[in-house]
Order: sequence, then structure tokens, then C-alpha cells
Amino acid sequence: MIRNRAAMYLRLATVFVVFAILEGAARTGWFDPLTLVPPSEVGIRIVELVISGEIRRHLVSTGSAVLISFLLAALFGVPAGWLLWRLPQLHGSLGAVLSSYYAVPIFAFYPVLVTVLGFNLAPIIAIAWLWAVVGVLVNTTIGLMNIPTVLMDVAASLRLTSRQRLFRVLLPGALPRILTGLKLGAVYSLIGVVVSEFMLSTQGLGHMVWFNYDNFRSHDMYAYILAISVLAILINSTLSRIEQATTARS
Amino acid sequence: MRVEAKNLRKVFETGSDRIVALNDVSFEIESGEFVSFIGPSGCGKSTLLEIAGGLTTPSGGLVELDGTPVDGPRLDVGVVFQQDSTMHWRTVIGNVTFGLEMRGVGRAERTERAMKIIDLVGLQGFEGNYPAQLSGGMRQRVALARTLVMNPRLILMDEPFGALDEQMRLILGDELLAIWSNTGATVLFVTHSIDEAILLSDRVVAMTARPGEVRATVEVELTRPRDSGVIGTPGFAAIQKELWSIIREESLKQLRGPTV
Repeated sequence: MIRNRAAMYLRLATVFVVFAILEGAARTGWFDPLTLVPPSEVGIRIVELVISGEIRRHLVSTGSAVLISFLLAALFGVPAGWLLWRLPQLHGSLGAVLSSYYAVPIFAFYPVLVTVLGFNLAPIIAIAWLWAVVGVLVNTTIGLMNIPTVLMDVAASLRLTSRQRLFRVLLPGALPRILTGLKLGAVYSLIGVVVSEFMLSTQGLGHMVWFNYDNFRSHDMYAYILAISVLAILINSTLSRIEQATTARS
Repeated sequence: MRVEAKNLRKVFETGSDRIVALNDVSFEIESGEFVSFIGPSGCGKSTLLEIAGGLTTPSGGLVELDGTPVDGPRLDVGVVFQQDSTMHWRTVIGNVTFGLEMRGVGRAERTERAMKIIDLVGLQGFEGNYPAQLSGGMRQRVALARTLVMNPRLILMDEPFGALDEQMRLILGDELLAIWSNTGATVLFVTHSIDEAILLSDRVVAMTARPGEVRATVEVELTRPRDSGVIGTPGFAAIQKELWSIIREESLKQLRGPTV
């Protein structure tokens, strides 16, 4: 406990020092003010943007796209991962594709998706889903494959129904790895959404970073970058907490 | 429960490879008897146990339990495996009650039955612990308790203490004997430890190197109740010597390569 607390203070101190250096570097004029803005001014700008409701509007847009694409990735990825584990032939033919999946520049297809799906949230959700789903799927399959075969024998000798086998042995057995996949999927969803917003969008946190950059509004750009970072941290810590609550024992 | 194996044969075919694991194995185990199967690795003794448990189908022959041919796993037949088979996401008591829960036994009865067995295997005080917090020996006790709580009439044990050190193996053997003597269950025990086989069994069946056949059956005429104190007594040593001469020969055969 004391050690944890010490580690926490050290972490806070590190963050503080980094901000102090940035602040100093910006104030003394080492950097051109368009490139580096003092963090304190960014902080003030964030408060203004929160009060005016501007950040909230874009946060809702980005947040809902992330949430939808993540939920779809989970809803599709876990069963698909199970199917891949169940059908070794399918795994044999798709394995190579899946392992090189993240080498494919999916974002290059974004303009195509916009043409097909229209200029709205749909192509953003589609690309974020494409980016997230395979991480969930692959980790589900690995989690199931890592379950010791002896547990299948235990299930057989206790005459479990296939339903019991799935919900009482397979899924809980693979859960730690599935949660790893979901954590990855959530972060990939966020990246997918934000990067898509950079390219072709009229709203969202990612769009605002790009928009403010284009208009030389560095304060606002940094404010939105920080907002995205906070969102990422929130998503990750929420999922970590769920992970700890469910798998603290193993 | 009476066990009778008739002309068991098991052939594993993978591509062009053909491995005869068991070749014409027949034996009988009387109800309430404790019989060990011993032999060099790969002699098919685990396959034998899987067939008796209905987890593997034989290529020929059959096993009858009280006269009924085995055609799948049965609830009155419990299996204890060599590998750690505890469920990491369940506590000790959660692991022990697993089978009862799957059969729809109510919580109060589950807990009561499990606590009795947990006491019996010496895990009292650890009910709330997760397997990751236990030693290998304790995890095997959990697996044993999970099997015993179902009140099996036949217990199949596949080198259950094989991953443990010699001392722990003998200590758990003593505990197993004490538990078994109160259940009246028949035990088919697979091991590669001669001392363990003699300590526990009424009879020891020695198997040949692959393809597995019954080489000899040795009666263990040591008095019961018995514990590891019998190791080193003249009666024990005589059986040990007899078994070792058989196993040594079979192990050497296996060392020289397959003779099929």
C-alpha cells in the first residue's frame, strides 16, 4: 500500500515536471508560439470550451462513434473468435490473413467508404469497427485455444451440456484473454474514429484538432488533443477496472 | 462397481502413422478393489483409463461396468487427471461444487457436501482461495475433492500425483487410502511409481511396452489399513523386487525402440 502510494506520488511528480518544462520552454520563447503553447493557457482554453459547450458537442459525436464501433466489435468479434476456434479448417485458411491484418492500411479505404456509406457517422464507425474487431477476434480465439485440454475432459466426464461447456468452462476460461482483446479493441476504436475524423468529417474531437491546426489556432488544437487523451485514459482505466474485478484471482 | 475389460484394442492413426497403443487387454476389477496399472511411458495405460471413463472409444473390445458396456462418460464414474484441472476462475469451494452445480443441486446442499469433502482432503480454511494461490499438491486435492463430492462408485485416477515430488506423492497416497477406505468405491489407478502402486493397491497390473498388453498381475498381500510406513518392510520389498524385474525389462525394451 505504501509502495503503491509512493509510486503514485512519483507518477504525479513526473507529470508535473514535464508540464513545468513545457511551460518554461513556451514562456521563454525557445519555441515559436504557434508550435508550443504554454500548458497553463491550454488549460484555461479547455475550461472555456467546456463552459461554452463546444467540447461537449464534439465529445458526444466522437464518444458515440467509439462506443458504437466498440460494441459492434465486441458483439461480432467474440462469437467470430469462438467460431474460428471451433472450426480448425477455417482457422487454417484465415490464420495467415488475420495475423497480417494490421499490416493492411485500412485507413486508405476511408474515401471509398465515404462514397459508399455517405458523409456521416457510418463510414467512421465502419472503419473504427474494422480496426477494432480483429483484435477482439484474435484474442478470443487465442484465449480459447489456451484453455487446457484437460478441462474439456473434465467437462466431458461431468457430462456437461454444450451450453454449460460454453458458458461455464470455455468463456470463463478464456475471459482474461478476451478482456485483453476488448481493451485493445476499445483503444483501436478510438484511434479509428479520431483518425477518420481527421480526414473527412465536419465534427468530432479529431476533426477539431485538424480544423484548429489548419486555422493556426494552436490553443484550441492542444485543448482538443488533451481532450482525446483524457478520453483514451478514461476508456482504458474503465476497462482495466472491469478486468481487475473479474480476473483478480488468476 | 465391478469393472471388466474384454480384449481392448486401441490404434491411433495420424496420416500414414499407425500406433498400436493397446493390444488385446483384458482384466477384471472386483467391486471395492483398488487396482493400479503400471508400465513404461507410452504403454497405453492412460488410454486404458480414458476408455474406461468413456472419454475415448476403443478400436476393438469393450469395458463393462457392472455388466453394462461403457458408451460414454457416466456420473457414477469420477476421473482425476494428472494435469492441473482446477478452474482458475473459481475458488476452492467453487471448484469442488462445480459438478453438483451443473447437475442443478441447490446451493445449501452443494455447500454442505463440499465442505465435508474439503475437510476430508485437508483443505479446510482454503475454501475461499483461488487455485493460483495454492501449491500443486493442494490443487490436486481440489481436483480429488471435485471428483469425490459426486459420490462416484468407480474412481479413475491418471497419475494424479505424478507432477508432485516423491514425499508429497506418498503423503497424498496415505490420505487417499484413508478416504477410499470410507467410500467403498472401486479405484483404477494409473502410475509409473512402483512404490506408490504397492502402497495403495490390492493388485498391481504390470503392462508391457508399446503395444500395451497385460504382462503380469501381482497381488499385494499387505494388511489394511495401510500407510506409507509399509515401505521398506520385507513384504513390501519382495513385491517391489518382483515388479521392478518386470518393469525394468519392459522399460529396456522400450529404450531399444519399437518392436512392432
